[in-house]
Amino acid sequence: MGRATEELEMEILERCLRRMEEGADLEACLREFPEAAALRRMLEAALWIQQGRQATLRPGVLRRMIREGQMRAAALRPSPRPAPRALRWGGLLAVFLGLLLAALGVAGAAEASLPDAPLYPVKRALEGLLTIAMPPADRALWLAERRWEEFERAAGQGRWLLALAEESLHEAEVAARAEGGDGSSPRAARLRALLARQEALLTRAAQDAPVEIRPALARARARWAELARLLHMPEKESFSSPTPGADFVSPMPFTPTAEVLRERTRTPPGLEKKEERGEKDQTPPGLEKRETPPSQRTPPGQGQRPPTRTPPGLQGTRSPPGPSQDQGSGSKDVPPGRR
Amino acid sequence: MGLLTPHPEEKRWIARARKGDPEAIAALYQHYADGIYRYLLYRVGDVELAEDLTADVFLKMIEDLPRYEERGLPFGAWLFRIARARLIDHWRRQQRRATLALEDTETGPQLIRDIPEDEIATSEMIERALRVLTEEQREVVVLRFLVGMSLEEVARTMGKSVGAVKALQHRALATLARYLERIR
Repeated sequence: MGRATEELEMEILERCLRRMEEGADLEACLREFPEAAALRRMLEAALWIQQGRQATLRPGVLRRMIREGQMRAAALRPSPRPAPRALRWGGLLAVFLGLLLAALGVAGAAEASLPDAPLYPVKRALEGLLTIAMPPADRALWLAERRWEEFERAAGQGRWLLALAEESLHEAEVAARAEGGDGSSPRAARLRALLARQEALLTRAAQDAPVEIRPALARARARWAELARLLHMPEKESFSSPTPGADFVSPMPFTPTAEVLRERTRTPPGLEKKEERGEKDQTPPGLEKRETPPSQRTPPGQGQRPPTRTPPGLQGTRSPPGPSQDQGSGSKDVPPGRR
Repeated sequence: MGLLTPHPEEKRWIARARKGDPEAIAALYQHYADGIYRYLLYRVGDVELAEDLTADVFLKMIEDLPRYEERGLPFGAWLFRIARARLIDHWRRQQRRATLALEDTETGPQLIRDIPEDEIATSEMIERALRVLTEEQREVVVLRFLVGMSLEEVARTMGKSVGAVKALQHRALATLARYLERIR
């Protein structure tokens, strides 16, 4: 059979098959395509094979398959995925929450920082934001409390950051002046509580702080005393009147106010020279120069001061070179109860 | 209209089935299951095995449905490609159990008790007749006359030209005609 004949036969066969698929029977098809007579047996074979189409899945088997498929689909897709828009908003919300948490973390870390920490400027900046809407007196009191709290924490670590103490005292003074004479307000109560804390720590500082910061400490205590006076603090809370029973001897007695200082430093007429004479009398003649080392020589004009008492535990501490005005006046003005 | 001519609802079924909709999944099964089953039955000659393979094909369909995209390949043709891949996997597994597999193929289709006798007889005879064909001829005959695909659909499913499939069909029917004449 030539190739052309074979191709023709294939074409006729295909046409007949299509006609039969459309519903025509074999005889009708052969009548329609007389040249397909030679293909009759092939067409009969095709019809015979098509009987196999009656084979179908048993209904029970098909039902079981469908159930398995539905279960597999449910297992693969347990929950409907959120719509893309919801996903986008969810992502943005997650980013926002992440940033918020990070900011809160930084703010929290900054809150615990002290002046030499890298985050301390953040803390101060946040304070600026937080106090924008506060009345000036409240703001000053709030800042005074915060600075003092920092001073206390630093002192607990053995660091005496007096700049914090001074700032706290300054803010407390602003708050006290704004308070005026009203001592019954909640703010006044807070101020008094702050002052009590300040007094306690300043008293301890007088014992524990290194000698070189004592002048600044003395200034802080002077400022505290002014504040106490502004707030009409009871005498027992001030430095000039220590707690009964306290056996603490201040190494650097503090002059609370200039007025008090003037009162206390006033020497009765005629007594001054007597004291000087008495001191001179205690020194054996010719011994004074030999006992005083050159580095601790009294500068000219201050030789009349009595020797400074060293508190217990500080005997080995070197005094700063040159006599301090505060120390000098303090040694004279230690109240009787503190000696 | 061939088996692979899409049902008017087919796109909607596919979209819903992707989301796990049970009714859409059932509709896809009901539309295609018998065709896939017949194809597998006349390729493996065993009812139970054909049922198992059919179930596998549809489970694979469920898994791969999210990746199916209609790019010139109708859903039915995609499904038959899965069926052919499953069949090839089955034959490879059988080759590893060569002795047993040979015995199985020699014995013809394993018949199931709740299939009517006349249907069993016809299926058995057809299955035996198909064994006289080459592998490709058998594939064409099964897809064209037992599954019910058009010539073009067979060509697309097998990845061959229409002319090549037409020639395979012609030779297969000539061989079957001679076989039937001989056994009658």
